[in-house]
Amino acid sequence: MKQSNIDIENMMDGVLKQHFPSVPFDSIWEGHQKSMKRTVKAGRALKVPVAAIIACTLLFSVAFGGYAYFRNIDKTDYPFVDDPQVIGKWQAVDFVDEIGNFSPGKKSFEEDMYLSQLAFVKGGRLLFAIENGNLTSLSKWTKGLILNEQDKTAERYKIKVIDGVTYLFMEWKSGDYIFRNMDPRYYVLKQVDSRDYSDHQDVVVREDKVDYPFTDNPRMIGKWESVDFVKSIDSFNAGEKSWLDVLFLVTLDIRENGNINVTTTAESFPLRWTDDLIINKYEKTASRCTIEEIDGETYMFFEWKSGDYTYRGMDPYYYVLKKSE
Amino acid sequence: MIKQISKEKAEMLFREHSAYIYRTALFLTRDKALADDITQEAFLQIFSKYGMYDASKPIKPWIYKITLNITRNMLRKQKWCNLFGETPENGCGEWVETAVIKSEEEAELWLETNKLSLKSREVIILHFYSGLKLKEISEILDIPLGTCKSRLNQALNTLRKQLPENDFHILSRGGDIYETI
Repeated sequence: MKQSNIDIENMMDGVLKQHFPSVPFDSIWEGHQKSMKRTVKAGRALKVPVAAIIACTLLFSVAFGGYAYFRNIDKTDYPFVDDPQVIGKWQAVDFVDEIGNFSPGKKSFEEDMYLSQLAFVKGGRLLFAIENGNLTSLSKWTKGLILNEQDKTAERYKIKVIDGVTYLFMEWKSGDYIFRNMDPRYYVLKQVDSRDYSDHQDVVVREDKVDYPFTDNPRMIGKWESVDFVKSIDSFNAGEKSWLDVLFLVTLDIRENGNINVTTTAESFPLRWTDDLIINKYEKTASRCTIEEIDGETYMFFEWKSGDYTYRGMDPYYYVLKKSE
Repeated sequence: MIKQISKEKAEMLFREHSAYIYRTALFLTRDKALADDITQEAFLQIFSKYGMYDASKPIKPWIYKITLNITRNMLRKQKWCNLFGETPENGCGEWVETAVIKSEEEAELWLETNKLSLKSREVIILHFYSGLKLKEISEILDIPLGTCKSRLNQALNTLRKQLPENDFHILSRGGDIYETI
């Protein structure tokens, strides 16, 4: 039988591993959150009597014609008009039904706010921070308007000085406006600074060196079972599980010659290791494993390099694994 | 009520699968922008349908099934656009920087693999790149196992014909026959 001197697997791996998606997790998550909000709120609508829905849709379609029957679409292709007073960062302080309902120093919205910050950049770029995350480019602005081409919304903003403090009131066009034609509510944001964030970079991708030669380390070899997930090695207390949720990482089966089988609650997959490092060549992470003896048991502290590490520059948490074999 | 996915879980899924999803879409569409759109749409669906996923089964085939369905729909839409000259058609494998291909033989294999039909390329990438077993691929593509096997054999036969110096085989790893298990 002829031997293959090239193999499809390696060829494809070699070619495709050069390519990465450019869409960051945060923007997808935000899209998901928005769509869930719409879905959840749509659930309430089901409680409305069917007859009323039919009557409303009929009236609506007569009044607004074909496309508006499905959703509101705002014009978003406005030319850019500068507005120097809006440049800079704004911090969300409240979410109100009407601009007049806002009282400085009093937060009327009882839940956590979805929008945390906005930064208006010179030239029309707008940065959003959602749920206290990092600022990420999401929309555009022009004088008086925030333009979201994906959602097809144009949200008006208004700046007001109240008791010497500058606030920005921004229409929030959620699914209630887009799909149910309700009046938008308002985010109230307080001016933080008037700096230009033109130099802001959305995603700082950290990549570890991953092309290490294999160095044996007998202490690594064996089966390890996760027992906790901690912020720092010092914060682990043997016999106590501080992480309240289910541990996503279940086991590490570390074998000789650099092979590992990783089992999570979702699936199993292979990785490589060398010395005290676990290497993920696709994610370009090298996670250090610190092995310690505690109360007669052997524990491994495995750096968990998630998107917080790769994209947001945060320090990794640690999975704590106990040696079982 | 369907359980919502947590942000932590969503991020872990994204971290583990986004590159594979993107590369699968890229190989099938040969269009980086379209592959980005498919990745985004796939994760939106994965996150919203996560509550419906049967956790007793491996997640990878479920994720790939969503990806493949979106890719096929997008390609279908693109065909219509192409009819009206709205989007340029990418050439076979030309979206890859030639510098990453190590040898002339690999370059030939890459070119021939890209010339295969979409159906053949689907089984090729799922098997050889994503490392899925034939049974998993048949479930993803909603085709009988026998059809899946013959589709893969047909693709390999085409490659054997075009590159007669080589022979290509369905994968088996560590005694685990990747064909059917």
